[in-house]
Amino acid sequence: MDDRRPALLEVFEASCGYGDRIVAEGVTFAMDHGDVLCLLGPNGAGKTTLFKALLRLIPLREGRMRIHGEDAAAWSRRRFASVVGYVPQAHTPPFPFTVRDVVVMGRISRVDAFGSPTGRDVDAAGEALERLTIGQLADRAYTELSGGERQLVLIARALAQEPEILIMDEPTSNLDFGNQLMVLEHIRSLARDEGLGVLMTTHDPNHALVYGTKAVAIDRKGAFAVGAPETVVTEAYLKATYGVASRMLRLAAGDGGAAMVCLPVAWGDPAHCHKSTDGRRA
Amino acid sequence: MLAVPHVQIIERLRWGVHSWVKSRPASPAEAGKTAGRAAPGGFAPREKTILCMMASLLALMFVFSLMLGRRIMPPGLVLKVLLGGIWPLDASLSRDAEIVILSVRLPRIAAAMLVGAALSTSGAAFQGIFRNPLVSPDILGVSTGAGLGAAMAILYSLEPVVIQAMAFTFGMIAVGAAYIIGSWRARAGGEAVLILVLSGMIIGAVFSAFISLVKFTADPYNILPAITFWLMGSLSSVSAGDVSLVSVPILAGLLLVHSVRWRLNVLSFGDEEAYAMGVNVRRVRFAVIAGATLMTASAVAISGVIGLVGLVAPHLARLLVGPNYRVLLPACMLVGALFLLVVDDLVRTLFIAEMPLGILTSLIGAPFFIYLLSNLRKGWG
Repeated sequence: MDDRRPALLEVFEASCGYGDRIVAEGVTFAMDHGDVLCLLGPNGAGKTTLFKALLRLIPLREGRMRIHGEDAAAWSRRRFASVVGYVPQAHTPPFPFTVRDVVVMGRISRVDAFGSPTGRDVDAAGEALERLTIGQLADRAYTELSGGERQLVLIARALAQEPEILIMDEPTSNLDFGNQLMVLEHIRSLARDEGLGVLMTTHDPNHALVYGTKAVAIDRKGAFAVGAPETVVTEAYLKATYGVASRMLRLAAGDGGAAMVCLPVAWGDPAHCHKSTDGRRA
Repeated sequence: MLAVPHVQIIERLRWGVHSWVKSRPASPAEAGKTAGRAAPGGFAPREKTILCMMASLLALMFVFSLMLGRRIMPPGLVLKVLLGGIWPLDASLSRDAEIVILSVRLPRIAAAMLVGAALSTSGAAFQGIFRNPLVSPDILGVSTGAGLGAAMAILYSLEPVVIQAMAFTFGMIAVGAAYIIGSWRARAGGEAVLILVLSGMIIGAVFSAFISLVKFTADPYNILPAITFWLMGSLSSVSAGDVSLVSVPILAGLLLVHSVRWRLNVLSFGDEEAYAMGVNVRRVRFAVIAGATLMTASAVAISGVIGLVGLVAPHLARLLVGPNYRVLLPACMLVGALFLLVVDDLVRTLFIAEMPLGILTSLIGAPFFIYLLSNLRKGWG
């Protein structure tokens, strides 16, 4: 064990919450370069709180968070931002910044405390836009873009930070069917081809099954299950957590591999679902 | 989606200005090479052109304003007197012209420019940290605090310099109180910016209650009109000494806010994103509030309460250079100085009995404010 390289991101027995209320407890998982780790769970299960703690916006109550084996809690914000990039949900700021301005802002952790961006920072921003093939948006106003474009711009902004880890808060929420897949494909290629570690939340089990290399599933009681997506996102989990009876299907993927997908077939009250048998419900 | 944002109109107008200043790059690829490309710490060519044009316009307006007054002076004389003020060569200049230009008009014109620059810059900076385009420099109670300080000094018939000192001090106290209460309440949890705004409103309400109390107890024949007139805002009694005294804190405040202006952009995306991008949000916000308050309190101390400059000028500047604070703040400074200079020229020359400056800025600013209100898409970010 000792001679092995420590994982990119390790979270060990982490607890977090607000005030007296502990929202998430005993979270343990690890993530490496090239991983897409999907965090799945019902509304109110503490995903957002956990995210805030991982981004160090609120303190961890207990437990540790290590990056490359180093305790990240002691890092300065700048150092942390140069390793971890945050991609929020697409939103609208009050001022019509150009896309380039928005992406250059991602360079802030790499510019002196009172400095302004240099030509190099502008180049890095342009490069980040090109990596997501949206270079043509650079001079548009961010506020005028579509939801999918905005989400890509926010990813580009995080990429301009030159991070090793991307933390994404529901990158597919509020996007149409096509844009969801477009964003997910970009996420997959960032992890697979460029070696970033991606940690994202999602509400769609199929996103975790198809695009995730790992999944963390939170159930109604706040318990965490960690593992390969198809071992964590199961019929039993979906039924117990969402009250959704579903069928798992194995589909051949385009690249020769296979992926599990789930097909929801019926919904019932989660408590009620526990009592009835699987077959009759479906 | 349907609410056509004023943002779009602004964007379109901005391009209009840009293409007028310098023809817009033909292809997107070309645009990628030129637009936004800045030398280290500097401005892109287009931004530089606009800033230079505004600075020249301000310089022209400065000389023109010195010509204006009860007696119109020819531009040649104004320039000669100005140069003579720095390096006396020409002994033939009339003593009268010198006194009128250097001792009467120059302090007032310099005050108008300084106050305009200060109010406009702090307005723009506050709009950024509060993530709302309708915010003005008074949002944390600086003007109300200054008003109370001045009113109390006037109540006891103190010297003009004491009135200014009291106005400055109480302006700083009001914002300090709002900031302390805001940070204290925010520690218990909640949206820091919203709590700060609310505590600013509360402090403003308390201080304006005290202003009413001072007015209520004041002698209605001499003191009360003086207080009322002070609160309306005017530059008519500004002396050269006043200007040089307040220019130090105003320039310090401008410098402080300018030093964090690029970081200010990130704050308008919200605290959490800014933290995640590696910005020390609390420190930047404190620097902006301290700098903006320093200059607004100084400005209000010599001019009284001048409304809507801090709201109108930043939006005019946004029309010209866009929302990026890196170039917006220098532009704001110039537009604010120009705006107040022009309005004060109107006040000086248009009416026989001089009207308080604050009235005219509000009358000119109000239609603009209404236009913004009708295009407001969202409230607190």
